[in-house]
Amino acid sequence: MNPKIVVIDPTKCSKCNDCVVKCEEVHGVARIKKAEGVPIFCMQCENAPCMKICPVDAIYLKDNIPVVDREKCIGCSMCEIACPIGAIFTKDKVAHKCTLCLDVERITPACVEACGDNALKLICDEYLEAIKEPKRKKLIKVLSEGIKEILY
Amino acid sequence: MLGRNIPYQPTAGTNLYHAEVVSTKIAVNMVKRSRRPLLVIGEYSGEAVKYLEDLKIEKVYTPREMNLLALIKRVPREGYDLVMFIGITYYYLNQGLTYLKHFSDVITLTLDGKYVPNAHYSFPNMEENEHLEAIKRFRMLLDNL
Repeated sequence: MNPKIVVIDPTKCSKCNDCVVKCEEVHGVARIKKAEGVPIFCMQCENAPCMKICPVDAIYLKDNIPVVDREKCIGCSMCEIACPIGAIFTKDKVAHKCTLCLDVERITPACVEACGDNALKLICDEYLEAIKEPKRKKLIKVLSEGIKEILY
Repeated sequence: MLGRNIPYQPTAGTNLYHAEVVSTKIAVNMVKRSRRPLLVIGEYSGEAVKYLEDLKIEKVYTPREMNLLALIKRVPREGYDLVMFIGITYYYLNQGLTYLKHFSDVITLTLDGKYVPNAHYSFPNMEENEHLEAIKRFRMLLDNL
C-alpha cells in the first residue's frame, strides 16, 4: 500500500478550519474539501482512477503518491469525475489534489501539524497491521467461546 | 508496538499539543524528506546506539561533545529542519524539547523507547527488545532508501 495516508477522526474534529487555512498558506489553494464541516482528504489510492483517466498523463506517482504535474495538466476535469471520494478538483485550469506536501519542502504534511485537536493522523501499513492484530485475537476469543457453548 | 493510540494519559498533561506517535516507516520518511537532519545521541542510548552510529547523518553526542542546553540553543540558528534525539535523560530532554517546540520551526523526533510528549513526533512506549527491533528496522529502512 501507499507509504502513508492522512486519516481523520471525525469525532475529534472541532471543524475549526485550521487545516484548510494552513493548506492554503502552503500551496496557494486549499487542497482539502469539506463535507458537513469535516475535511475530506485524498486517499492516495494505489490504483488511482484519477491517474488512469488523465488523457495527458499529468498525474504521476512520486513515492507511490499521485502528484499532479501542473505543466502537463489541461484542466479537463476528467479526474474529478473519476475520483470516488471527490478529493480532486480543478481551479484556475489546473487540477489540485492533496499530495501529503510531497511537492513542497516539508517534512510532514502541513495540515497534520496545524491540527490542534489531534484529529488528523499520518498512518502507514505498519499501523494497519497493529490495528488488525487485536481484532484477530478478539475474533479467536469469540469463536472459541462460541464453540465451547455449542459443544459443552 | 505500533497502533497504541493513547501512549500517554491525556489527563496527565494540561494541553492538547502532545507528540504524535509515529511508526518507524513514517520516521524514515521524515528523515528522507528533510534537507538537513541532525541526530543527537545521549549517554543512555544502550545497545540501540550501535545501529545509529555509522549513519550518514550529522551527529552530536551529548554531553561528550556539547551540553544539551547549548545544542538546543544552536539548533534553530544552524538551519537544521529535523532533529532526532535518543538516550537523553527523560525530564531533561522534555525541557529542551519545550524550547524547540515553542521558539523554533525545527521539527523534533524522539527515537527513545518511551513516549516523549513535548516532541513533535515520538515513538510509542515500548519494551526494551521492542525498541531495539524498532531501531534495527529504522536503520534497515534508512539503508534501503
